[in-house]
Amino acid sequence: MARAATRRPLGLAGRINLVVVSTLFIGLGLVGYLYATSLSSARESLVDSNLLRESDILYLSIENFMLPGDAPVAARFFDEVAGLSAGYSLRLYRRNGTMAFSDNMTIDAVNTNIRKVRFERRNEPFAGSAGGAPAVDSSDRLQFGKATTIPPESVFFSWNDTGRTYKRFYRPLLNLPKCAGCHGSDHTIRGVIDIRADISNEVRSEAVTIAVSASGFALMALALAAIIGRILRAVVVGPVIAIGRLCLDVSGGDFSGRVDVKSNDEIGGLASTVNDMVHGLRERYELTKYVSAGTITSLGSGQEPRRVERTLLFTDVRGFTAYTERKGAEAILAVLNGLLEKQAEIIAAHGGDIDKFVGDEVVSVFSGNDAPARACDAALDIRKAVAANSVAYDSLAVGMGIATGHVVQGMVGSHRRADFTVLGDAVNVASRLCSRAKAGQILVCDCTRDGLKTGTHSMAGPYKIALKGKAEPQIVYLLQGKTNETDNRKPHHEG
Amino acid sequence: MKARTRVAVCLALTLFSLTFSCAKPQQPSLIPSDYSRWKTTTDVVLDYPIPGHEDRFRVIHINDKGLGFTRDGRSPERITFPEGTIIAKDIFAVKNPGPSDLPVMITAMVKSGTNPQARGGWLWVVKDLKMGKESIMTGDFCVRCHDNANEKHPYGWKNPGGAFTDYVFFIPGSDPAVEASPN
Repeated sequence: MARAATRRPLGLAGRINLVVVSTLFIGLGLVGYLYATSLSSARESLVDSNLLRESDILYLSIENFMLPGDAPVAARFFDEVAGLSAGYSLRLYRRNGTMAFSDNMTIDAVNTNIRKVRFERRNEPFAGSAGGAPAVDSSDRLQFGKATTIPPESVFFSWNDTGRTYKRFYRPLLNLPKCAGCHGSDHTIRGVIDIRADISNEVRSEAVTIAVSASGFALMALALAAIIGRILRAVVVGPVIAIGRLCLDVSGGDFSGRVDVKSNDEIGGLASTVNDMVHGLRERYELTKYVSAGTITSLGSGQEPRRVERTLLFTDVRGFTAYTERKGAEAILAVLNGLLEKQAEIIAAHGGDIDKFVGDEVVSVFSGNDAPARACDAALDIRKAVAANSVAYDSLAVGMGIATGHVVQGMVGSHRRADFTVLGDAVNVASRLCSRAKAGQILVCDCTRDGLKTGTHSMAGPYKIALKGKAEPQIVYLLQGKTNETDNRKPHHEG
Repeated sequence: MKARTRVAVCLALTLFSLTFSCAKPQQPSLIPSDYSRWKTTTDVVLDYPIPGHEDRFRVIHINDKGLGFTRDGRSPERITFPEGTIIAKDIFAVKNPGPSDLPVMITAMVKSGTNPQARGGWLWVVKDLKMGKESIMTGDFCVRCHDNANEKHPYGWKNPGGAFTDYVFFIPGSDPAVEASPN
């Protein structure tokens, strides 16, 4: 089965590095390209100008050899110059492409034009003429043609052959008026000077220079990319990543971090703002410990009082007054806070909202259709936790009362200080039941019991008890446990 | 019109005007259209072949300014044509043109010593009359051949004293009685 490929998006640092490296490589690549082309152009220009100068010298030499009729000297001169260095050749072609001095054709034409035998025909074989007069290579005919058409032009071209690079220069040799006396006036181009030079060393040297320069540019680009990347990482990417991490921590509930950026630029300003923001969030978060969830919710949803059905769970430490007198107020604070913390934790775990702590008493509110069940479960868990940690809690125990009914929920207090709390008969009943419950007992009103699903919780009762402020005895139950749990605690009967 | 659109339109107009203001203006012709009414430099019938023009018939005209050339009187003599001299040579397609035949090309020398395209102090101009295209020859083809005018040569008055003739083969008023064939 083909696994779906998931492409991991490139991070900020990666993207910035990519942009920096791309920019540097493109920029330095262009510089390198321009350098290479200018170097190549300079080399080509130098080679061309050298060949041109050589051709000028040869041109003048030919003129000066030919005018006094020293054609054989010119031919020898050509041979000797051509042999000066390996890879260098010098030839003189007639305009029809055959090599000059290769036969008696010119000698015959000159003798005819001047109407006397000024030059004797040569009978010995001409150099290089075996198998016919040597001529311009057929592959070079096009360039040769440019040098022999009117107006003629000097032609440079290069080619590679067996790993070596050659440059050829065709320089047209004009039939000047002073040449016309011997050669006739019926043509403009006498021939073409052909200079061929092996420029392999120059080309190789240029290639090595370009390769070294390109490597240098590439290394420079890498080094600059690394340096710029590090600077950007230190100045921009690092702080941004740190800010991102801090925001992630804050969203996970950890407000302890801060971004350590000391710069005074925009990033420093951003970091400072984020630090201030996290500090503010931390303060607000700390405040939520002292404010009920209902209060916080009401800030967002409006503060108008409303009548709602709620289940109230009251817990109270039994024998706490005597315990305080025995231990002293300062000594018992740690034990009490531990006990209250545990209860708050359990209540929160069951979706309850701590309305307030009143001394050693916890007032919590449960809402929703299953509020009675969750309140009962919370009470059972509190009883279990307190019993299980009796040593830590110095054998203190709690009594609990649960009542369900309609209450008025709203803000109680002044504009300066107010609580979002509940008022109503169910609150009073829960408080009274808590007062009546002995250590470890959970007294539940009949409305709460009726709100439970049948068979989910085991109850003892019903009992009728008189509650303060109530004219009639109230029907109550002793919550013993969940039906799948065993509660060995004996119910307390009150008639 | 929104401000951004106005800016874009202004930019486009600026670019447009800059482009056209920087465009190379068309160069005026170096060979005036009335050149054929000028005097000729020689009465010799130029129907013999010469390198460069080979066997095509030629007629050479010179403007009035060119007739004011100077001679320094030394030996060898030095002849100098003034700036602005134009020597225009009609080139016909055949050796013996009839009365109805027109030239196919004009080659001209324009004295312009300060022009960077000048060779030997002259602009060497070729005008193809069929295409109407005029071009300056910057190579050494023309000047190298005409350089031979500055020494003894086989044409016209033949420059027997080897005068420097400012690259002009036929100095007005220097014709021999009979033009000799170069051969």
